[in-house]
Formats: sequence, C-alpha cells, structure tokens
Amino acid sequence: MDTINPWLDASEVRQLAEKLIRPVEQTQVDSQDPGFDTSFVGFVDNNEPAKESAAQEIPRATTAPVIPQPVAASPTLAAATRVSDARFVNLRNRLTDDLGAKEIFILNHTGAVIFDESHHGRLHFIARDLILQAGQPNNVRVKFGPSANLELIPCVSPQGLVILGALFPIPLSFEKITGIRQALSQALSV
Amino acid sequence: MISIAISSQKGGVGKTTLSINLAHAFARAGFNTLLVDADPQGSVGLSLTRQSRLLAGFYDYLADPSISMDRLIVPTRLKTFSLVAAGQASDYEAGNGSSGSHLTRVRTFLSQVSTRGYDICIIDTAAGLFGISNDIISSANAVMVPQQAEPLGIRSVPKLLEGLNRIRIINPRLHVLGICLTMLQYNLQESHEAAAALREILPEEMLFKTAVPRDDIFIRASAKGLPVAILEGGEITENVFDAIRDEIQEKLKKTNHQPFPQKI
Repeated sequence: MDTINPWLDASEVRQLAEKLIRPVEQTQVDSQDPGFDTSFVGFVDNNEPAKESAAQEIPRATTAPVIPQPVAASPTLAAATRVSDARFVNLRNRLTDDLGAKEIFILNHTGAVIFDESHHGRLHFIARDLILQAGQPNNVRVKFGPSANLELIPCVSPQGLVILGALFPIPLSFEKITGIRQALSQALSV
Repeated sequence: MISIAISSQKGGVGKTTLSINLAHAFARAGFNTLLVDADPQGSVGLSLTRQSRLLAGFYDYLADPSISMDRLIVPTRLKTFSLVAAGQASDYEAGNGSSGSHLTRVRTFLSQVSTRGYDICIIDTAAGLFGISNDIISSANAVMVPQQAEPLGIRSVPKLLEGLNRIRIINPRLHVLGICLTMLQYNLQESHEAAAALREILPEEMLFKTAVPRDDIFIRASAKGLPVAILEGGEITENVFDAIRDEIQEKLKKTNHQPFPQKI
C-alpha cells in the first residue's frame, strides 16, 4: 500500500466520495411563478401604440389643447433600477475591475431587485425567465454581440435562489463562474 | 431513457473499451441502446465502423443546428444497438469551448435521443472533466468513472472526486454510479495493491464490485472493430460487462434515482 497511501489523504478522499453519494440540497423553484413579486406593476413604455385607424379624421379641438404630461415611471420600477447594497460593492468592484463586467444586477427568487446598475427592467425579467427555464441552478449565457455576453449566475442561498447577471466582454470559464457564485454566496451571508 | 456519461480525469484508462462493451451488454440484454462517441479522437467510431471518418457525428451536431438526428444515428447488425460517431467538426479537437458553452446543445441532443425510443444512451467522453465533457456530465442522468488499477492512476482520485462534486452543483440530479477499476492485472502486485487501497478508502457504493481485467482480447477486438463478446474466446470478458451492467441496474433501482426502462 506504500505506493498509494502516502499520496492520498484517506479521510479527505472518503469525505469527497460520501458527498457524491448524498443528494444535493436544492431550493424548490415554482416554474409557474410569473417572475416578479406583487410590488411589480409593469414596464415603462414610452412608445405609444399605433392608432388603429390612422386615416380617421382628427376631430377639431373645441377647447385649448391639453399638453400631455410625461408619463412617470412606476415608483417600483424607478426604485428597482437604482438599488445599491453595501454588501455587494466589493463583489461589484471585483467583477468590474478584473473581468470588465457592466450592467451588474442581482435579483432574489421572487424577481425583486437586490442590487442594480443595469437600469434595464426588461433585462431582469428575461434573466429570471431564462434561469427558471433552465429548470435547475444552471448558469445561462446569452451572446448579445461580439464583446457582450450576458452571464446569469444563480446561487442557492439560505434566503432562496439569487441571480446575479452582468455583461462581460468574453464568455466566462466554469472556474470563474464558480468563483463568482462563491463570492456572491459570501456576500449574501453577511 | 437513462443517459450515462463514461468519464475520467485521466486519459488511457479504458473509457472507450468500457463504453463499447457496456453498451453492447445492454443491447444484448434487449435494451434499445445508443452509444455516442463524444471523444474528439473518435475511438468508438474507429473501433466499430470503418467509415466513421466520413460520418456526421456528435460534434457536427454541436456546431451546426441544421443537422438532424437522422443523419447521425448509425444502425449496427444488432437491432438494439446504434451509435453516433464523433463527427468531422475538427474545431473541437483541440478542446475548444469552455465549460457551459455547449450545455444547451448537449441537452437538446439528449432530449432528441430520448424521443426516439432509446432505453439507454451511453456517452464516451474525452478525458478530463472540463469543456464539452463537463457539459455532457452536467446534462446526463448518471456518470461512471473507469479508473486504471495502478498507483499513478489511483493518486488522481481526489482530483476526480473534487471535479464531480463541482459538476453536481450544476447538475444536482447527477447520479454518480461510481468508479470501475480497469486494466486490473491479477499477476501484478502493484495493480492488486492499488485496487485494494481504493476499496479500503472509498465507501462501498462508490466502487463497482466488478473490475475489468487487462486482457489481450481488447486489443484483438479493437483490431477487428468488434465488441469483445463477438470474438471467439470473449465469453469470459463478456461476463464481466454483463456483471457491470447488472450492477448499474441494481444501483439505479436501489436509489430509485431514475426508474430503469423495461426491456424490449
């Protein structure tokens, strides 16, 4: 046995092997969930839908014209696109400085925004939808352009599933994704 | 359908031999079996079909979404045994593609295979637990690890176990069937010691009871492009793979991880 035992830490090997036999703890995700909690009231849409009958005669104004007021963004969405949380600042700095990440956001399992620099409510919705479609805690990558890869990294935390999303100039390796997931997990445990 | 990835950290441990003969053992038992060559070296195809270099295969499917499954599946003389060659997409030969980059495509492949009535799909992966091999294990129902019964091979076991634990984060439903000792040399003390050391360290369910012996018949079989069971004198080795097949069925049944399909 001298050819083997000095090279292996038997207890470590056994622990690793036993871990493989045990089922992995998973957070239950409700795939019927529409994607956001009840505070979500809809997206801001500045493009008015086209009139059904553009050729119709426009009625003459009989009183002074009413100047339309700009449509205010819903308070929920406005708040959602500018959320900061001190717990994630270090992680954000690392992602930006080391990996060139942009548009970083973090959502919880209900779709509520925990941290956001993306200012894109639709992106959050797509992110959550893609992660739910994946069916289990898999990371998802969507190529947006030659140097824009949206990476969505789910992380199972004591609070439930949390999703980190960001745009990266190049696709991330498995090791980097694992590293980010661990850093996110640490930040969540603070 | 059950998909089983045959994977290992090290190369040259007998993955292709195990894949071919295990798939053949399932097919002989009446299970509708598909053997997929996901090793860019294309050893399964080279072993079983002379035209494998001309066939579209698994890597072509990953590279080109327009390739249909019908073009990939090659029937054999045994009605229950079909195979998919590695293919011509040579870009992948250098191990291009980071882990995760082909996950969706691999899952689509397995999903399409399952709709074609296969009971079992055995995938012979390239050595290492990264890149496309990682994506395959991350998509399969189960993984089985051949491990050469010799000291140097055994020393790589911790790295292998770490790798599998990492992949289970991505694929929590992955059933690790265990390590199967290969190339066991009954007349060599070091080979015996290596096997004994592993049996002592690992939990019982992590190691297959049956080991694949080193035997000249494997070289003869690959020279003729046949599974060993078809060769004259291959009956003993045939029994080895039948025993491994039975162990797999038992493991899947015991854990109730995935119901094993009924025989045809």
